[in-house]
Amino acid sequence: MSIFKPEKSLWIYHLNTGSCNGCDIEILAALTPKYDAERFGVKLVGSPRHADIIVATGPVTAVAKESVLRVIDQVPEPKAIVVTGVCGITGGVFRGGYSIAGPLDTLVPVDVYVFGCPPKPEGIMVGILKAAEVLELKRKGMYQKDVVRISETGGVL
Amino acid sequence: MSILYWLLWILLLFVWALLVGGIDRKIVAHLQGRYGPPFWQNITDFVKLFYKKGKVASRTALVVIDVALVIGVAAAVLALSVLPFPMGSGDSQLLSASGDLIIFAYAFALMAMVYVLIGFGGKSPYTLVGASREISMLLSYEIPFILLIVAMGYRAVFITGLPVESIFSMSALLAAKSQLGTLLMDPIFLGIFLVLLVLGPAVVGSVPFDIPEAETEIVDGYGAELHGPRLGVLFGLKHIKLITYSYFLWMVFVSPLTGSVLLNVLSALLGSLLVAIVINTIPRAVSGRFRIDQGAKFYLLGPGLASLLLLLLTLV
Repeated sequence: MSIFKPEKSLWIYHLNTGSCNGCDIEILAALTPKYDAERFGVKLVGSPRHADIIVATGPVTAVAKESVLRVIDQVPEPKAIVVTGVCGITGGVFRGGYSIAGPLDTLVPVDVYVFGCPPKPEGIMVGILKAAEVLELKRKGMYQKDVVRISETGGVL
Repeated sequence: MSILYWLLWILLLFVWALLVGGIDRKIVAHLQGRYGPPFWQNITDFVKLFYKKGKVASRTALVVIDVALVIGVAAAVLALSVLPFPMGSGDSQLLSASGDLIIFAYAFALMAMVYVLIGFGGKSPYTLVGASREISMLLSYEIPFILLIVAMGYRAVFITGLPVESIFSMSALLAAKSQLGTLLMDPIFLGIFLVLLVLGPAVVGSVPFDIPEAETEIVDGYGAELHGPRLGVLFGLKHIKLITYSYFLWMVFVSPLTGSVLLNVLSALLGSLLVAIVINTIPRAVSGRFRIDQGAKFYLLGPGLASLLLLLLTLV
């Protein structure tokens, strides 16, 4: 029954690893009344220990690296990581810079990529819902380590 | 038989508490022009937390947190055991003694102390700040709350003419209710009811007085270090606290007496939902969070003085 299905309750933790704030604004837009992510059971939580899904933005700066790894380590299993925006996926315009320690997938395994600079709220919502599918596979022990790629408007690539 | 019925009743009340939490989210969503989560969302959240497994920070004192959670569940059961529950024709209590009104007030203070213990057990700066804020809030709303409980005890004895030994007993309040039809017919009880409604958001820790668990400032305050099943118990405890307080206000002050068990149960469930909407949902939808000094000042100057006045009126 879907009432007792853990993947219908998605508590997300918004992790900024050194982003320009473009993606952060779009994540907040996905939670506003116009897009209303709460209708899928999505709730923004303050502590990483309460979270199911990490929505990360930014290319992971050298200064932020240690904190980012500690925060991700605090999230209880099963967890899923959604990287939002091109900077988080490849490093974007910051790639190869002296102050960059990322992108995030070189440090921890990532489950969903949402492309765009910044992606639209629709894309971020699809990313979160795909992360819920990843959570279900992880809970059932059937996870294949496939990365899901979402376009900026929400199409699966 | 009575205890079995009562156990079934508190189980139903707990599920209802989670449903009330979901209905609250749905109503707030509609007030903001959103569709909102399904009304059973909080049941899903509660079940999900028991699937999670996380790491515990080395500084966290898990023993303190576990003991606090056990005390919290015991306090909730204690509070519900002295409250009337709908059975047969009229209300009856599982445990009834002279002074059970004081036990009820004590159980509520104990539930707030559980949050403080959880905060100190977490030992993170955020949980410590949450715990100290909870103590400040407790000191500001507990004084009017206790004054009102004393006023209720005196007034019930005055109205019913019962012997003075039955002061502070729930049965005296129920006798006064059956004499008046509903306690709101008496002006002093009406005043007490209104002040208790104003105290509601602070007692149950909802917006604008959720200062100890401000997510955006101190990452959920006292509960920041909890995860998995322990967080699930805390989540359930918050809901049961809201429903116990709403249920207390409905059953003691308002609830009409009927001869049918079904009607009594329905009245108790819907009545507690109504009170929960008034003390939790509406303030949450229309207001932001206060600062701790604003919250403390508000409760000491507003309900504090009002409760003192009501107590003096009762004694005169």
